[in-house]
Amino acid sequence: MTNVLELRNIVKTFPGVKALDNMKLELRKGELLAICGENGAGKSTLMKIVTGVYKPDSGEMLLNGEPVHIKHPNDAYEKGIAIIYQETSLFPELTVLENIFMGHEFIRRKFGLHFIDYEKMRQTALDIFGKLGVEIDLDGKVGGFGVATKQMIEIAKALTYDAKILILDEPTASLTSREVTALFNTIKRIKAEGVSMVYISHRLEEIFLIADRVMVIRDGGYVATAGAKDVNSNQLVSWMIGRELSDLYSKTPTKPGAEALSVENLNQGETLKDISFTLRKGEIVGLSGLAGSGRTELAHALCGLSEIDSGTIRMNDREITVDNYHEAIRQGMVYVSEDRKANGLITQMAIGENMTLSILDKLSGWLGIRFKREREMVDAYTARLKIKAMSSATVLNNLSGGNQQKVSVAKALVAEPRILILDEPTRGVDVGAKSEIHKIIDELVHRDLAILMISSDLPEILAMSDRIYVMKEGRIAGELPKEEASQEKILTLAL
Amino acid sequence: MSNNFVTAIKSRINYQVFLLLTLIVLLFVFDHLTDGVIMKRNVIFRLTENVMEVGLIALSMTLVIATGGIDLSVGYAMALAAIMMGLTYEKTGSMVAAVAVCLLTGMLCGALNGLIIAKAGIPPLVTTLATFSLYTGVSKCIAGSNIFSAFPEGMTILITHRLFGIIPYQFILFLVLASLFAFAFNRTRYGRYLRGMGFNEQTVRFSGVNIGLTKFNIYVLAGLMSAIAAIVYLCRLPAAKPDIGININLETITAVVLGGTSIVGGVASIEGTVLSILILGVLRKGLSLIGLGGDKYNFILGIILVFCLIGFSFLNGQITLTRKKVTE
Amino acid sequence: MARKNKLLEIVKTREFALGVFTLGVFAILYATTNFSSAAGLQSYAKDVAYILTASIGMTILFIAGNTDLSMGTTLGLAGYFAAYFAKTGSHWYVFIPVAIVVGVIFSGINGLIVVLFKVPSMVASLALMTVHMGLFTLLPLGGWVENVPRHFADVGYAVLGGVPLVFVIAVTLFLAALLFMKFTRFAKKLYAVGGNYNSAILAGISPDRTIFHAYLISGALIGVASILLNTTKQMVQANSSYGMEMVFITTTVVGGTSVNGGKGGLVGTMIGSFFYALLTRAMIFYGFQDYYSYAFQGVIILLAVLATEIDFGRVAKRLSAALQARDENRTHRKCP
Repeated sequence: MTNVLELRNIVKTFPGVKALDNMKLELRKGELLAICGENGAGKSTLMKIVTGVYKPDSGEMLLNGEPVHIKHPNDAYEKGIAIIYQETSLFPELTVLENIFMGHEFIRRKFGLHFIDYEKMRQTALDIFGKLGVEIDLDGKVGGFGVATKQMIEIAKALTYDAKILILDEPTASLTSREVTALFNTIKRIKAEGVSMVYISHRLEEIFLIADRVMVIRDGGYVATAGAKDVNSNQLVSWMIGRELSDLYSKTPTKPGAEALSVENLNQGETLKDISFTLRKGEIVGLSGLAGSGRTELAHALCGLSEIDSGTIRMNDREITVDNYHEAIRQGMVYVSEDRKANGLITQMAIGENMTLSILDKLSGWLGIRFKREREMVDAYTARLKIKAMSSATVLNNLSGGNQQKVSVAKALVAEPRILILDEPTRGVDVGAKSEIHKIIDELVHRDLAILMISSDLPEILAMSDRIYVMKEGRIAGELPKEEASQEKILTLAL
Repeated sequence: MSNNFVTAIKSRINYQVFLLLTLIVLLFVFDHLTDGVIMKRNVIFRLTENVMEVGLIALSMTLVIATGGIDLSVGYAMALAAIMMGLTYEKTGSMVAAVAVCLLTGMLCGALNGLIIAKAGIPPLVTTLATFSLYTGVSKCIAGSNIFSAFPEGMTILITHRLFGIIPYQFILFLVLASLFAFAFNRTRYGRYLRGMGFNEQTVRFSGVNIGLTKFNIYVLAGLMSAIAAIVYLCRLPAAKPDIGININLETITAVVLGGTSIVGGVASIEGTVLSILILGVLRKGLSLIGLGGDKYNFILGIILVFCLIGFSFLNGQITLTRKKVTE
Repeated sequence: MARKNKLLEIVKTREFALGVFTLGVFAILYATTNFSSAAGLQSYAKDVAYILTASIGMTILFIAGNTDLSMGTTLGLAGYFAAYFAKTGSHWYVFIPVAIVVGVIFSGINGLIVVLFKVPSMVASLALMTVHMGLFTLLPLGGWVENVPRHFADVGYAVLGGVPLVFVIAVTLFLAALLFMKFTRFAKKLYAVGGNYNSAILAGISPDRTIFHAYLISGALIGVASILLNTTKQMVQANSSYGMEMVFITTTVVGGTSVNGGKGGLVGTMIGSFFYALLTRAMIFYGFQDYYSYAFQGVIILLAVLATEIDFGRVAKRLSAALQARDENRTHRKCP
């Protein structure tokens, strides 16, 4: 029995990081294969290779036993491989019908001209949606539908390409339980049509409900595959984690002091529900949870980057209102963004310019920016954080990811915060820079800073945190003191 | 790893040197073509006479374009401000009042732009297209077919007399304001904010800067400069009518782009704009002296603009090829 | 039941509201002035003809995410060349294609600059506009064609059963364009490219090619529009349609096409064209000077864009939430 899809010895590296090492994958016809792994294990890289977004450095891919090379995402579609991402690539102003056939509409010839054959498209669409068990208004604008329906539309779109392999990337992340049930029914129907599926998810309970087999990957490498009926979640969790906690991290013990920040009953729409927690001086509190659980949203809300519906924030026992980020900085609370390219740094500008961007008002006088003072400050922090660059005038584009991240951290430190919120501080950073950043964090906490660290890197959060809060679906699912915390416990709370 | 910023600075300074050289070459070329008229001491400074209004507006336009925006209503705001000034003077006889109303009008025009762009989030292109129609209409409604020319005799004194007999006062005004702008842009934090907004607005927002207010302010500033330009214009030609600013858009944008400012924002240079204005001034005067006035000048402007856009697109393309939405 | 829902949906659209409004203005004009005379209606129809044709081109570009500020000057050039050829003896089967070819060439150059060199369409067209104007002076006869020959004017003055020929042509073109927008793959690509450039690429579309083709089509439409406009005149001047693109932008925007691309359609533009031409007529009849039209234009564009871009539902929600919070605060304070 040939596998409908097979990957062998796939290697993919990015500058400074080996994303996939000797990865393999075997998908049998008509099965639903779940893929599990922590944030950063390599799932999305793997899928991007399968769907033609990336090219592997080496290794081979076989479709129904025949070797293939997929050059372009559209190529993957043509070969019958489709992926449904969390963020849909639909056109909100166009109708469902137009969206699912975009780029490959049915044509009818009449009087020598080509006309779109709406009837045939409509019939096919009704067929497909019928197969999916979904009723939908084909002429409705996609933008008017909810996430769950958009997903159905994406699935229908894939089926219009006659996809035989369907990849679902965290499909249930934004769905209610009723919608999940509907999705699962649809999945069962698709399976009955002979479509093979890859299902990427963190939600172990769901995997056991729907998958035939489960594959676990970890740190870019293949771990194991087993029948869904033959394993339990403990086994899966231990496969996902299974590595030694190296003593790469250098958090030395501190004695936490007075309460620096206290949050009570914070609410924000559907993203944050009744959040309450405290942060003390001289301690590092880790904030863990799966992608989409609301960690970054919480950080934004605290720092005035987004509005809250209700809740109290107290700093040093005084209630404060943070309407905008400038106010947050003024109060001594600074945020280091998780996505330095999008909103943490300006890569076309120089190191020095980036570093001081948030505090230019403090560095300015009647005659404009005090350049000498700025340079001194930039040099001081560059040295302190060991940022490797030719000079402070170097454009950020030229720095490695690790050094860029250091600039991002420096940008926060120049504001001399009392509370520092770090969002994925070592994401996309090489090992050397990672440990340097950890040393810096350690140093800071010894200076009585209160640090909230959001991280998807479990060993990092376990090594660095004095306490860990775990978030799940917008709520705080649990709190773990350092002595009791373990990867299993965190994941259990998060899943 | 090459030090890109130094290269960028070097290339900027190189480019400004290039502009300076072009200016000098042009001077010599036109001097030759006009048999030595240009390089005379009392002529050379007068070359900038007619282009100072454009220059003033180009200064604030540089800032607007640096943030990735654009303002197509400047010429018409200028006309409206001039008309309001004429009207006020006619009704009150007070120069002070007239100037005040003029400046206020300019700022209000800018404020309307700023409000719509910053608050309602409508793209600057469409906003200023709409407001320019509005300002033209209002100008014409107020002026009818009148030309406000009842200005005091002394108004043109600023033009007929020159410093040391050779340097036009408006040129001095321009240089003074240009220095202020250059100072503000290069040495204060606002310059950083503006450039940053052109590159990555989100990051600047995440650095605690009030983006909405900043945008609003630069459009008001553009309106103010339009009003100042109106005053300078009236000193030169004391006749206020609705079409005095018709060409300004093209000249200003050409000056800014020629000066090395990127049309999509981020990269900008006040010094470059100043040099370009000088070049355009020499070009305009030179062409008219050899008999190729008005339309030919516009034509050449258009060609210069196209070439600059294409050329810089190549240069910038090697560094970042962020394709912004083409309707800004 | 479904049919009733569809009717209700149509009634709720912006196009419908605009259409009703236009009819209302029409009725008022009809009743109160001599607009209702054959001559009056025919003039109106002739206005609509060229406005509608050129606006179709502008709308197509808008949908794909671009603008063309040089449409006015291109139209002038195309009209001029057609008139020139007519003057030197050519008949309609020559000078009409000439106009179209001129339109396609100039619009195509614009498209090339935008697509090949990634220059934002606004600036590119602004620059080209002045280049066009520079060309005017180089044209034979100085860009003027006086006393157009009979066979040229015949096109403009021809009447079919009381309806001006130019209007018939425009309406026919419009209907063809409607079919085109509904039934071709190309039309869908326009919306995709304008809606989300990257998603379009993922869907296997080549945005650059699509945009370039849009410019070509627009150019052809400009050519036709120049015929529809200039054959109704005694004298054709290349620079007389300077600034006319503002009209086409107004009709497009008023009709509901978004300035950001990916949204809108020809039906709205058509109603917008009728509306705009009507407004101009109304102003003439009621004695408003023509510069009022500038002011109106500006205000109309602003209101139209605000209506398209701002989600008033959300604004209303936030407003009521803010007011509610303020009230709650007040009552909260009252309790000690």
